[in-house]
Amino acid sequence: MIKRETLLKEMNEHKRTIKIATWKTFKRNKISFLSSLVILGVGALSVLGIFYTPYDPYKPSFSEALMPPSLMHPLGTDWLGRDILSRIIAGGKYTLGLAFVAIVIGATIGTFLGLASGYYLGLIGATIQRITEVFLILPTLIMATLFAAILGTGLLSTLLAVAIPIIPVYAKLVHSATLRVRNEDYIEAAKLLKKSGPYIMFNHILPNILHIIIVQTTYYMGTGILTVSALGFLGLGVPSPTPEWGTIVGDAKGYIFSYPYVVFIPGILIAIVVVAFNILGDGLREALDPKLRRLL
Amino acid sequence: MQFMKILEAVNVHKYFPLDIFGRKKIRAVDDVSVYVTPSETLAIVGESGSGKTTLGRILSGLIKPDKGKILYKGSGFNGFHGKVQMVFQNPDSSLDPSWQIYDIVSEATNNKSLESVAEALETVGLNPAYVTKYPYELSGGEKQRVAIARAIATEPEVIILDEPVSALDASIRAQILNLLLDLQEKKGYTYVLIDHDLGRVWHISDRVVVMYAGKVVEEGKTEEVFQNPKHPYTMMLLSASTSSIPKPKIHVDIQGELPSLINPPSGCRFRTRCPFAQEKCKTEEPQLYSTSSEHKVACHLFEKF
Amino acid sequence: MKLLEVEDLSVEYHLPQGKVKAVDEVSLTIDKGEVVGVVGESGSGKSTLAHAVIRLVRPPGKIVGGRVLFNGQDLLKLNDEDIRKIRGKEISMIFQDPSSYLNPVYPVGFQIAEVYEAHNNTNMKKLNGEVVSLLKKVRITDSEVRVGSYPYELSGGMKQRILIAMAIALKPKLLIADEPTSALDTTIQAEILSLLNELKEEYGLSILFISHDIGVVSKIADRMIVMYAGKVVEEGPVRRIVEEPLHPYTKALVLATKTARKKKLFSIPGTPPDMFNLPKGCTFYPRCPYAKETCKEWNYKMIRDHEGGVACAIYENTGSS
Repeated sequence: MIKRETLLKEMNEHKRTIKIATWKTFKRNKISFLSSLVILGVGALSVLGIFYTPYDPYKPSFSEALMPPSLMHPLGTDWLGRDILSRIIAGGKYTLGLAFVAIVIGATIGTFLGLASGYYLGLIGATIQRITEVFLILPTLIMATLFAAILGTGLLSTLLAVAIPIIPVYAKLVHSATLRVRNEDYIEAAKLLKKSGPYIMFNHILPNILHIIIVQTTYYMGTGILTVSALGFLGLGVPSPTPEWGTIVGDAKGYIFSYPYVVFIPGILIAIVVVAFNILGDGLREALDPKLRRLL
Repeated sequence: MQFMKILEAVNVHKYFPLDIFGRKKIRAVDDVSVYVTPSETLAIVGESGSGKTTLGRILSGLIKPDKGKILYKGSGFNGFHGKVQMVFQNPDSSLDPSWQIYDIVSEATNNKSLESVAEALETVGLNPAYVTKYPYELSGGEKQRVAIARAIATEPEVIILDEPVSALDASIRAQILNLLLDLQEKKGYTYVLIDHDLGRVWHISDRVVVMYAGKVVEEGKTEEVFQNPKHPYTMMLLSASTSSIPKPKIHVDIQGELPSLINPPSGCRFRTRCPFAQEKCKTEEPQLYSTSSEHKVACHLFEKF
Repeated sequence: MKLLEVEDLSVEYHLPQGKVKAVDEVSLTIDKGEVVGVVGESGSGKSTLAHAVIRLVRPPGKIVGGRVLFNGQDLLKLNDEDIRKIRGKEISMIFQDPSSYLNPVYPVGFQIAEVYEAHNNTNMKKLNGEVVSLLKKVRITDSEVRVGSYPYELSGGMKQRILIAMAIALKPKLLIADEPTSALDTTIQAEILSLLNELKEEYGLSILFISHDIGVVSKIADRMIVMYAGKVVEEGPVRRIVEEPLHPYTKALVLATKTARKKKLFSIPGTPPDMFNLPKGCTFYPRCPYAKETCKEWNYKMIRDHEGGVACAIYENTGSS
């Protein structure tokens, strides 16, 4: 006879074994693993930036303006004498943080909508999907620009301008994924057990499409970062002097030929992080694919 | 109580529209009435496309009929009340792949206790230690046992078996059928078996309903229908079977394909494949004629057989 | 010389959990015009065997030993180009689920014509007449119209007939049928079997018929081999195997086909073997009702007589090895 405690322990053990196997598969893709380290590194740096930067990122110092990279200022200084490295460390929390929060909000709302439209179909499903499609006509960046124009500049507006266009993207994604799962017999079996729609959506459909959502979210992080920084670059996002990376690049564009490092360093950093997220997405797709679980 | 119809379909129709205007429809189930009495096994037999699967889903409540009604213990039933359960054909898709066996079975029990889950698994012949496993770690036969455990965990009255062994290896089928017979003996479950294989129907059913192109063509006690078939389609099915069942006096070779369900043939739907078809079969749709107490046939020529 | 002679063929799978010998020194022969059935449970290696004969085994599987002589030529030694000339033309294959083998975006007539084109370099446009008559041959009604049908418009039985048409288009000498009726209804199954029998008569076709259902195999095969855990446990004429099975496993398979009213069916006790951890000695030992202690040490050996053979310790001192 099995005792309850032993049973729970064994079940959790088993779940752990699967998680470990997934982790091992993930590690096998070296480039993807490397990308995740890059992202973690940059993220850690940004968190650091909340508490400490080598120099004050806002305080101008005209005597030290436009100095090339040196020991004192590893990335040089900008036209106001501000240490570029400090500005970048301080700006990470805006670029990455805003993108992260916006995507998470957009993903959550979009997932709810997608689950509902995919599960209920009929009039509810069709309505949600039609509204979604209207929003999907324009590319995310243009949508974001539109919202920014309406909402103005600033942190909250940038957040909304990025989050809102992402909602329909997730709604469509999750709707398609739900369609694939909703006709499976185990869903019918749950209905026979008198389970409600929301119960089935969150306990039977969501767990089986989660891997798709996670992988897509990784890709959309890249999109989010690009959108936040694009808005900043255009002057429609986080306003100067806040050192959001896109804003930095936008402000510095006059210096692109004379003092290129002012423009390129933040730009390249954005590119690296976005590429890292894309590669990470590929690696996660392999690791989380349920079909590969059978080869364990 | 003996003859109370525990589950009954009364004149049910189910059409699946092909376009949004519903002009073209697939008439999957066309005016069908069936019933089952407590602790009996009713078999619904037919080829793919006969409507048997759809009828099964209507009986379980998963599909709502367009016309007609379903009665449970005499009163209308809408939705689910847990007393009618189902075992599905494909063991790979009937268990949620992201759930452990423990959760799959306990979802169906009332008290979610370890004891009731362990008991359910033991009843179907599985080691209770399986609770930690995921469906992909089990074989087809084991998954089907879990599906049965889940169905009986609700303490149902009727279990609809939708081709429960078709997807399993021939050597495993016997085990599962024996289990089902065993359970019925011990707990008195009522079964509705949906299958295309007459060997299995002969093995476990008390009464049989033969379906063709959405309609019932013959029904009655299994022994009677198998030993004394009156519909040419039934004779065709019996002739084609590779199992050791009674063979009909008139051997009818298989010929032809199922007719269109959108525009079925006029009169008797089977006439395009029937070697005995006459003029009347084209113009008049046969009703279910009674040949003896419970044996009914939808064929104009039944008296000749 | 026999049409097909498989000698001690072995196929291994290299999986993360270990090595599996899916096919373990299997031998069989097929004569011209003969139908040989291969029966076994899932995991017995029968499907792998079929794929190995035509060299369709892909990693992580690998053919590790034996010979496959087709008209005297060892198929395992041919280069890729030569084996491709044989596949589809001299030896063709049909599989269990016809949907997976038909391209959903092309009409079926086109897909049949592709078979001709791949081997004969004939112009597609000139092939319509041939394709239509081929469809008639596999008993598809309204063949002139059906040539333009897409796979989704056809039933399972019809799709399987299309596959059979593709398989016999170039008049092969050997047809390998891997569970062709397992996904079909019993009535359609009967039709397909009768069609195959007819084609066999007309074309002098040899067939290697794989199935888990000994009842189905006995309706079409002349001779049969029974596989268990990768090895052949019995072989012989279908009549003898079905009426007087020798190996305990074969006996169980035959008993399992007997149906009775409301009585318990016979079922094979125990569970299929764990291919990563096969028992020592006779692999069937844990489930065998006649098992003796000595079976645990028994070395695999086929004991033959004039009609066939059996691999079981019980018969050790009879027949010849």
